[in-house]
Amino acid sequence: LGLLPALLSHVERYQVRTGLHVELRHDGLDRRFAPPVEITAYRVVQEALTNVARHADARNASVQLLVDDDTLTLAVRDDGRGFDLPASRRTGGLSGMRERLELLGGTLTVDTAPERGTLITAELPLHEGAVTSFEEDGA
Amino acid sequence: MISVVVADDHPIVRQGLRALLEGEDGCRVVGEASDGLTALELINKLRPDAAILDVQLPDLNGLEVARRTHEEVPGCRVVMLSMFADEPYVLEALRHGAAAYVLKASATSDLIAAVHAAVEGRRYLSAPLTERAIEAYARRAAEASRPPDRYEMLTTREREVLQLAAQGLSNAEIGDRLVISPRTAETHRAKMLRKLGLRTQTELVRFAVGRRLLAPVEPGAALGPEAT
Repeated sequence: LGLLPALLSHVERYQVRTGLHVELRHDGLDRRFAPPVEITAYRVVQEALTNVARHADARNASVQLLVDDDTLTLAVRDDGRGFDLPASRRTGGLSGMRERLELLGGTLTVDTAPERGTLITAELPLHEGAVTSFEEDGA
Repeated sequence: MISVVVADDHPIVRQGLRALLEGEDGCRVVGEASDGLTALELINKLRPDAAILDVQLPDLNGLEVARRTHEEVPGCRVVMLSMFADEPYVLEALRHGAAAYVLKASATSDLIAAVHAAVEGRRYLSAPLTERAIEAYARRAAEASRPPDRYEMLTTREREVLQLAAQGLSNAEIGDRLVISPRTAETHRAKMLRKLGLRTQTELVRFAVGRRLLAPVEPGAALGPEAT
């Protein structure tokens, strides 16, 4: 059905399972994207929320997504205890996410510090959409 | 006597449904279709009390058949038959006018109960689906369409760059202040502008003033109704 319904379901179940309050908001997500983009965006949100439930000791989290001409940007934020980034080199889940994103030409940023929560942001280029509109312009 | 049309692209499933329904007192299968268009034709012609539709029908999918049945033959109640237990599918089916949603993995008694409920004008969902879960999903979908708080999507560094850039500093100057290279400052600035959906310096200043990150420079300048 697409990325948005999948995220809505996931967030709803996650909230019931973990008791965390999660807010999901988006702008421009009610459309389909190339399957690798949809799958990667979904996995990043899923992994980020899993980390929040496991390690963050948070009460609230937010998932926000934006779509502009050529990029899907997503941000997962929590109000948990954060962590000392340089000290935690072996962040298995995070480096997996980063690899997935880099394969698609995207980026992953982790912004955190002890007692300050964590913000994970990711940007995914929408290559295929860009190519399609280019072809339409040329026709 | 409850008259039923069944539509599924697998003959064995149709035969199974027929055997199941006709083994039940008071049910009769009056038509069978293997695709959506035929199903819709039969429903219009036979005007049954209920139609059991597979979600994934060839030619015209089950959701669309449900929607048109709801509009064209409102007396015919639709029971959707589906493999998918995910809320979005269920919500879509209900939005398309289905009265009941039955999972293919459920017990046969579930389908019989669904047909009876639908014909009596009640809604029916197979366990483990619940009205509450569907409502919660629908509510969340409505809430999610509120626009994101874009400022909340900025990293600490991007917020620092936002402040300095709004004050008119160049990438080189921002780099000096934050002890990063001009190139890195430029990357942060570009990401920050993208997240905020801003393009020009004027838009950036207006945003910063609106968020009270920056005081209006000229008291008389037109900066929107929020500025004092």
